[in-house]
Amino acid sequence: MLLLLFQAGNQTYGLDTRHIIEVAPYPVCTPMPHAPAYVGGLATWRGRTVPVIDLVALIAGVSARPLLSTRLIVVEYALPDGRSHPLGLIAEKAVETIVSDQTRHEPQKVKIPDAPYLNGTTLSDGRLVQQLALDELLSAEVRELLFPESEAP
Amino acid sequence: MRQINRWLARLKIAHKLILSSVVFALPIAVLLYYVTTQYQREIQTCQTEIAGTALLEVCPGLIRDLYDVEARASLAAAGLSTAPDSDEESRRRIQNAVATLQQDKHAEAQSLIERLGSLWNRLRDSSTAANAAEQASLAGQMAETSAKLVPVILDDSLLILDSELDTYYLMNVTGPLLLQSQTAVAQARSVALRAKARGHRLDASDLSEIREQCGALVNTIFPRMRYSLETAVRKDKLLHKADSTFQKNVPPLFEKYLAMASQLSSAARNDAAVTPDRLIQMASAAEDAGVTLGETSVKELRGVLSNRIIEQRRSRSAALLMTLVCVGLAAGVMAIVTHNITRPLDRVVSLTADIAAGKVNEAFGRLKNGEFREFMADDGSAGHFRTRDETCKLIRSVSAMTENLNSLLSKVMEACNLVAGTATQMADAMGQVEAAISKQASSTNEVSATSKEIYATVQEFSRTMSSVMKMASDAAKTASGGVEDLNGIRSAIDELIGSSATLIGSFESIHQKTANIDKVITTITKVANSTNLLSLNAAIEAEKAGEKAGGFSVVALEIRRLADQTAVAALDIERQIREMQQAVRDGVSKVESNAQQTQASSMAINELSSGLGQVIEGTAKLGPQFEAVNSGMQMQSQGAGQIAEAMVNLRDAATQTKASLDEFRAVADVLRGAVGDLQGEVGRFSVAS
Repeated sequence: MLLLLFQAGNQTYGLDTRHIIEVAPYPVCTPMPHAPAYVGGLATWRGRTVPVIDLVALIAGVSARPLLSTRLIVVEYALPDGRSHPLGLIAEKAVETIVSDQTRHEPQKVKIPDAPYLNGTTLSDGRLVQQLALDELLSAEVRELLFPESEAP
Repeated sequence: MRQINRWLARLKIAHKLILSSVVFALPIAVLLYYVTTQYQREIQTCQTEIAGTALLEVCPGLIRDLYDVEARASLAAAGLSTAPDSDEESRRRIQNAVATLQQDKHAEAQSLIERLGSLWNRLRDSSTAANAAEQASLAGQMAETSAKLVPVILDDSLLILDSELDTYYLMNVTGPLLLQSQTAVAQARSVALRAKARGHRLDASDLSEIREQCGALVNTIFPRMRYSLETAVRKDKLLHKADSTFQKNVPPLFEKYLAMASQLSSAARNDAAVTPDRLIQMASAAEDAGVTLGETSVKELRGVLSNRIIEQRRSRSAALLMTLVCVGLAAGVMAIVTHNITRPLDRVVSLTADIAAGKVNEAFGRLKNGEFREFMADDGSAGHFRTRDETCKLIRSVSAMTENLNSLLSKVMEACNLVAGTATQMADAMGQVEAAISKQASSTNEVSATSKEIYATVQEFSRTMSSVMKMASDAAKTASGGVEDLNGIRSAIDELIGSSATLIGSFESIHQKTANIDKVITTITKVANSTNLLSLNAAIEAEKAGEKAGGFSVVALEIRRLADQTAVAALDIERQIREMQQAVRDGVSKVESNAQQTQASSMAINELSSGLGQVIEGTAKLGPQFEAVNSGMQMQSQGAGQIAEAMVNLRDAATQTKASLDEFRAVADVLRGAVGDLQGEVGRFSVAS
């Protein structure tokens, strides 16, 4: 399994590349008023408007800095009702991929209520990488906010 | 002992004195009892003796009469005598004597008297001529019994035991000796009677017997009687010192009796032809004289004893009276003494109690009112009424003490008030002085501080003036030399300004070139970034494609690594370029600022150069003026210093004065406190003004 690595608050996290559509340069985001802080807003990707989640803000509580290595990761987000929709994730230092060995994967033992998206750890080249579960990334309210049901494709 | 003392301490002095009087009176009473008892016993003894003499009085007559009766009865028995008429008189006297004796109640004499009575009854009943022999025998027995009765009576009547010497010897005469002499005379008469009865002749044996009786009488009995009688008279004179009836009456009777007996004795011895009648007559006369002597002696003895009783009674009364009078006198004296002690003591106690309670004026008033005048020297003349009585001395001392105390307290109170007033005034004055001194001290402090400041300022100014003067002179010197140097410096600065402009130009060109390099590096970085992005996407796509795209994924990885290295190299170059740019910028700014300073220096040097010329001129003029000012300053400074010193001295003096005042005030406070205490103490006593 190939993991795209990024950093949030000095900690390295890994995202399964199977859901990734594309890694794009840091976009210009239109903010969404009265949304949670980790909702970066809306960005234009290949002529489409996609909602953007700031992973650094979500995990570390600080907005992502506009660096060259700060990038937009476009993923195919599968909704519980079977629909799927492209979703933009902003992450710092998203410049590297690693091949994760399944046998070295440690499943999550402690479930943290405020961070349900943590999905075990993987040891790679001496670095401890926390793997993210994409399904658990958004809460029901945010999901409803970003992908209203009336907007069916 | 302690309990006795404690009990005695509860009593008043009067009670103690009465108690001791009673204690002293007790032995006197006991002694008095024994003395009166002794007197009583003596009186009883004398009464017994008087009773005994009543018996003794009858004995000589009784014996004589009995012998008479015996002799006549013997004659009648022999048939010689026929004259019983002479017998009647004797028998009547015997009857009386026996009756007298029978009244006696002595226990020891009683049997003899009874025997005498019974013999007498028998004798009286058989008064007939027929039994004359029996009568003679009875009369003889009665005479013997009577002779035995005399010592018993003497014994019973305690006459033998009489201790008084005159009665003892007199009793000796009256009792046994007279009995012996009478017996001897009676026996001589009996011999003569018998001879007459035989035939009117005295034979040789009769004469010798009479001589023997008379010899015993004259040679043995009479000397003893004389001795006893003389001793009795001598003792009586010694004891009573008066010519008593005893001393007058008894010795002549004795002499008469002695003469009669001697006559009888000499007749019997010398006259061989004497007739029995003559002898009988002489013996009877002697017997009568003896009886008279005995009766008189007994009377006198009784009189002596009676006198003794009277004397004893008088002595007893006198002793009683004297003792009682003495005791009464002692009691009276004791009472007076007690009264004299306790009355003034009570008054003194009440007086001292007043003083102790602080009522000195009342005590003094009592003294003034003359309450103790009787104990004092009257009219105050001390020498007139000298006394050795401690109470009076005590009262005088107490009164003197009270007066002294009163006057002392008055004086002390006055002194206290005076001292207190003075102390208060002193404290007020001291407060004023202190305030003045405080003001003075603060003024002095201000003046001192001011003068110190003046001194310091002047010193400072003087120093400044000196340095200014020195600097001025130095500056004048330097300025003259510096003007020349300044010209050289100005030309050097001008050259420096020129070279700075050149340096700034070259720095500008370097800056532009590095800016160009920066642009290139940015481009390179962007390319590297894009390449990295591309390689990432390629890798993701390759992963999605699976194993078929395995080689592609390797290529994507290599591309990404290349892009990364490029980015790193670009970053390094960029950093170096930025450092260089910063250095160039710093150099340019330094050179520019240097140039500006140099230009300013140049302008300043120009100004300085022109100013220095003026300074040189001015300094040359200033020198002498500075000197004058400086010397004046020095003098002012010295003056200020002296003022400051003087002020310091003044302040020290003021401080010392204040300290002394504080001490003085403390002392005054202590004094006032002491006076207050003293007033409080004295105030307890109320004093008569």
